[in-house]
Amino acid sequence: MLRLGRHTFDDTAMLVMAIVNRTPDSFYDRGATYAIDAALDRVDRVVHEGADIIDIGGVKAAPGDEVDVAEELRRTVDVVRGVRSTFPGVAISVDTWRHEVAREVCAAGADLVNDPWGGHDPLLVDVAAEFDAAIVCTHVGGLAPRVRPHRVSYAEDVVDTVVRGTTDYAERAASAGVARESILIDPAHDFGKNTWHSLALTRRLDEMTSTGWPVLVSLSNKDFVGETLDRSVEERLTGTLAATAVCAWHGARVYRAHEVAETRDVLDMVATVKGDRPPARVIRGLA
Amino acid sequence: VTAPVVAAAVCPQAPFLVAGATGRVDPGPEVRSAARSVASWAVARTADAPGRGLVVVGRGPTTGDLPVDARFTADRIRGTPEAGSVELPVSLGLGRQLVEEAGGTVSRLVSICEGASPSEAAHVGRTLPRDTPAVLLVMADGSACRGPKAPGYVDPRAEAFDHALETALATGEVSALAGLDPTLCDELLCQGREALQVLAGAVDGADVEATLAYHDASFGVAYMTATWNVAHPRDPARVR
Repeated sequence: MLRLGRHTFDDTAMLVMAIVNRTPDSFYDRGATYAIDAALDRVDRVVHEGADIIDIGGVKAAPGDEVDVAEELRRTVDVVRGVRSTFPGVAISVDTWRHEVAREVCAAGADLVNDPWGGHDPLLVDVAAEFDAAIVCTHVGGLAPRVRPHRVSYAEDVVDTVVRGTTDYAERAASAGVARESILIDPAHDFGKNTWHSLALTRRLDEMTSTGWPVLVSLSNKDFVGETLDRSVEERLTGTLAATAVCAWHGARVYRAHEVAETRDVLDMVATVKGDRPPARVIRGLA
Repeated sequence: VTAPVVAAAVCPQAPFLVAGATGRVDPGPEVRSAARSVASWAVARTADAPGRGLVVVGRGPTTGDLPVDARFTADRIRGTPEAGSVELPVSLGLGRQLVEEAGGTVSRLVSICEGASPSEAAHVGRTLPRDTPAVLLVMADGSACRGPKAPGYVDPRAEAFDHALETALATGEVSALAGLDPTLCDELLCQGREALQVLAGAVDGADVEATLAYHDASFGVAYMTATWNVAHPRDPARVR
């Protein structure tokens, strides 16, 4: 069983985490949902498209204008409250590395702290434990928040390194008191990684899923997809969905995505091929 | 003393009706409902008097009785049969499933070989052992050529063929079943002929009170259900 705050999910469920950025400058949406009304409109749309989790972000991942704690809170807390009251059946995640932000959003109703920066803030796990929230343990190879990888390399096999890094972080979260059924690991494609690294992690994602920790993947429209297919940001959906299918086959549980309906279809298709979900309607050759 | 066939029901045998063969949404709820309903009727007629047995008749790879407890799952339909396992043909497995769903028990499963001639089939029907009065559940469909999306596409002869079959089932016209032409049935992908001709042999010479309960051509396949009360000339329960 996977538990995200107030929500529980069975072991074969594959969940879509819809990205809702309250940022003026994120790479893909470029401020489309920066305004609170636009953000809540997107929440409404993605819930109807089948999102299980809403992931609210107030700071773009790449370098850019400084966003302090007060500004990050201003951007995120209202959306958390809005989603909690309008869609109580949907799990709420906040994309933050800061424990000060995590504390306020958990108090406002967030179920999951999605730390994109590999435990950079050591107090984050304590806040998750305090609020009985879930946590995502990523691997970024020691990079500080909002730093791009430059000539990054790993002394050992990248997949082994990521497995070790994420599971160490997961154990640290458990030791801090986060419920074990509420801890996810995430290889963090592109974060602290070149495209080869992200491809190897995709190809061998079963080495992460076989640890027993539920795996979250965040693939959506990322550079490793763009570089693989030589596609600009707005041309990466097909590649994203192909990588999604591979991760689904390997057993990843949560998919952080911009395009929710398409991702849902891919996950349903793969779940059915695997035998975890019956097809919708079978009559071909059986009439 | 003869212990004849006292009733017979005709039931569709589409593989999608087998439990686990379709998906989350039933593609043919009306057909399923009709099949369940006619199986329930057969179960009820079996329970009408003590000592009656329910015999499922359907086409299969051989002619003869198959064990009533033989294995049957959707695995073969799904292309993943257990290695080395032998399962009932869909006709008999589905018939047994419907009977059990309706709270009944099958006393015999009689297979009639695919391609059996009309006279072979009639012989099987005439020589069904009559140690107990029997209710037959006959697994049969009409043509499968009833539209551009039908398994056998459009055959201009199919509609008239199915209409004649429906009329025979509606009126208890045993000779029409006995006279079904094997070549035409094959060409129209009718997979009901052999079992219907077993029925014809089994009730030949009896009085039949027939009702066609359901007929449709969903998916381009002619599905039909019928209920026949059968009275034999020397039977005190004779209808006439």
